[in-house]
Amino acid sequence: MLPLSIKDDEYKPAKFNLLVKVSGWFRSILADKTSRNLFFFLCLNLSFAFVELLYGIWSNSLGLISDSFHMFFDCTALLAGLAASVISRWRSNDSFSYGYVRAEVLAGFVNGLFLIFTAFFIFSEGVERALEPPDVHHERLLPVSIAGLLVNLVGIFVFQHGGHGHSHGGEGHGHSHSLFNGTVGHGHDHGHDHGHDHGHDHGHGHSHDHGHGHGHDHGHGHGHSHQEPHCHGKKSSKVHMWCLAGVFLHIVADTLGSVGVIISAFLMQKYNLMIADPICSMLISILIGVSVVPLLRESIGILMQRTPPALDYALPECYQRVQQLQGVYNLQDPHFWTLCTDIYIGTLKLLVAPDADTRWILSQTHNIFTQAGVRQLYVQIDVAGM
Amino acid sequence: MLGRNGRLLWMLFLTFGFFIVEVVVSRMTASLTMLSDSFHMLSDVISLVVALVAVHFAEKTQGTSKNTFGWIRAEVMGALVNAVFLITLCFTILLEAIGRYTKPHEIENPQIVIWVGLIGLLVNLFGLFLFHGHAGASEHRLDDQMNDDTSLELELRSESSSQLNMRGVFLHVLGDALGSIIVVVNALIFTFVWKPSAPCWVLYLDPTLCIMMVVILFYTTFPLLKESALILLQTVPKQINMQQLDGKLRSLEGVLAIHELHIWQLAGSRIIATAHVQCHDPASYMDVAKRIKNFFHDEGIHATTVQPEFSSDTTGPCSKNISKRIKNEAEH
Repeated sequence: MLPLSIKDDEYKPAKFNLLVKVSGWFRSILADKTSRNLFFFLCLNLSFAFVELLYGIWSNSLGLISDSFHMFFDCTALLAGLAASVISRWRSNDSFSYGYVRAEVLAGFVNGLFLIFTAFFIFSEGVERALEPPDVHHERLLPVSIAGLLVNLVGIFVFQHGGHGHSHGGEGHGHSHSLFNGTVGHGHDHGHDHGHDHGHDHGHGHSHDHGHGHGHDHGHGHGHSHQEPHCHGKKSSKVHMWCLAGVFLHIVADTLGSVGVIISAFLMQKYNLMIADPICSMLISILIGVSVVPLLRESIGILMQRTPPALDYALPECYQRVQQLQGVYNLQDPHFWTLCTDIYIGTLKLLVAPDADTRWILSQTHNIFTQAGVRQLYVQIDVAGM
Repeated sequence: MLGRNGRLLWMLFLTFGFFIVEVVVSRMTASLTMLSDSFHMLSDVISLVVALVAVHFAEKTQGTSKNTFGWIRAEVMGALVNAVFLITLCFTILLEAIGRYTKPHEIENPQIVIWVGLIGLLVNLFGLFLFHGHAGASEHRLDDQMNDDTSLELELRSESSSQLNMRGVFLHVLGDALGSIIVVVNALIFTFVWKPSAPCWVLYLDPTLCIMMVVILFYTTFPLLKESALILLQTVPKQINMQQLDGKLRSLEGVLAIHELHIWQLAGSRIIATAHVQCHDPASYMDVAKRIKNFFHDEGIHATTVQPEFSSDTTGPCSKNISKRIKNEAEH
């Protein structure tokens, strides 16, 4: 029985503490749309992976077992995104003066890393399979791959609106998002044409290793979200952009893998093209690597405390305007960095004349930078000649 | 005598070469423990690369217009990448071990495994010997670069952080050594106990020891992951007590109130603090500013930005609580 009222903190036994914490997390997850979606998709993925694992053990098929391992790996990516979306809403406290908002960027970065590692492993397996082509058995994998494809399509549909689609929202914001969207879009359109021109659907890893596999379907999810700008749920999707970006890339990678297995099963049965298989794995891994690069670049920029790309042109202008203020001799030591999406923080030092009106300078400086989009600013005033 | 970079490079090549050897041997002999030890070596290679990169960038501390803090955070990022990579490897090995349980495999040519394992152990010990003096020295050197008048307290603090570093290195090398020992033990048991008619529990030894190695690997990696993740999350450094600091700041002469106090760690021992300070009027501000700067210096925080606010300000720039604003913006 759960306690109905919790009054004495010191006397709470440990078991109830845990229950309360966990139920608190559940409530937090279910409260927000994005984390709700993530949670349900995670459950779906997990149950599918378990079913696959049990079926593989029962039918003694190593291919199915390793495929289920891949699904478990994807579940960790989902878990990271989910954890980040919950953690980033926690309040700031003594240990985290800015709160936990950075957790999302970190989750996006870690998901990107996972994808790079996955691509690397697939590549090495492709190489291995090219050197010693194994026997390929498809019969049991086909229905599983189709089921996996359906699960991933559900994921794409659910997260398609959340991952992208916010290329508007004010000038200051437009840049950073279009940087991400633009480069991603570019990478994807490229792949889109490539995929379709060559009728080349990246069949991938089979039988004894990975029936599941990974890859990219460019014509699919991304093409859509770029052509239709989304105006609804704009802000909430912006906040969770980092959680969802990595998750989305992961799901898309899986989808093409499943499609690839289906296509290559067909190809192998009809045309007996054994050598195409490792080549496809290598191509898929390269594609995954390439598509992750924008996500990684942006998250690394934020984590390395780089000046926000959106402000790259606005800042020198602001510096000039501040230096033209009456009484300001010099602007020194500017540091601007991104805390999380669209939250910029800046510090700078102003060298002012002894008779300058400090208050006026401070408020003017704040105005100038607020117009550029930096709302959290710390301006240190150093009076010259003292 | 080799310089620090030279030592790192030599160790890097040695470890990388040995990693290749171990991978090849594990393929030849189908020994899973050898494979996991080879991944352990790979992670050593990566952490050496990270150390090289960190040292290189730490010396190049000038900021550019895009990277105003310079590349100092590269060290933390590298540590995070290393930790994530290791944890991924842990899971991979774990899964392969579970696969071995369902389809047990015997080790071919266990003698090679024994020899290679022993050489691996030697390489690990050699690395420990090489870096015993190095890790402590680099910490001190960085601290000296940063501040001219080091107070005694600061020295003690940097001592403890380099000790933490040494402890991390020691744990890592211990984990390596244990891994090599496990490989050798496994192969030894296999050599002396295995006959085709022998009990098949020997076959299950390989994956079991592997799982043990994974646990060791995980145990030594997790603190690294946690620490670098916390730094990247802009946490207040462990040695700083915010309440205490806040109280001491408020008790300084001329300080009416403190808002928006944020303290975070850039990397290593570089800590950055920003705050809004409310005082009486601009005339007395310069003294207050000096006092605050000295106070932060004593605490070991050298990069501070303090914005003055004056008590007659009703429409000052800090009319709302910034953290609340961040939270509001994040939620809507």
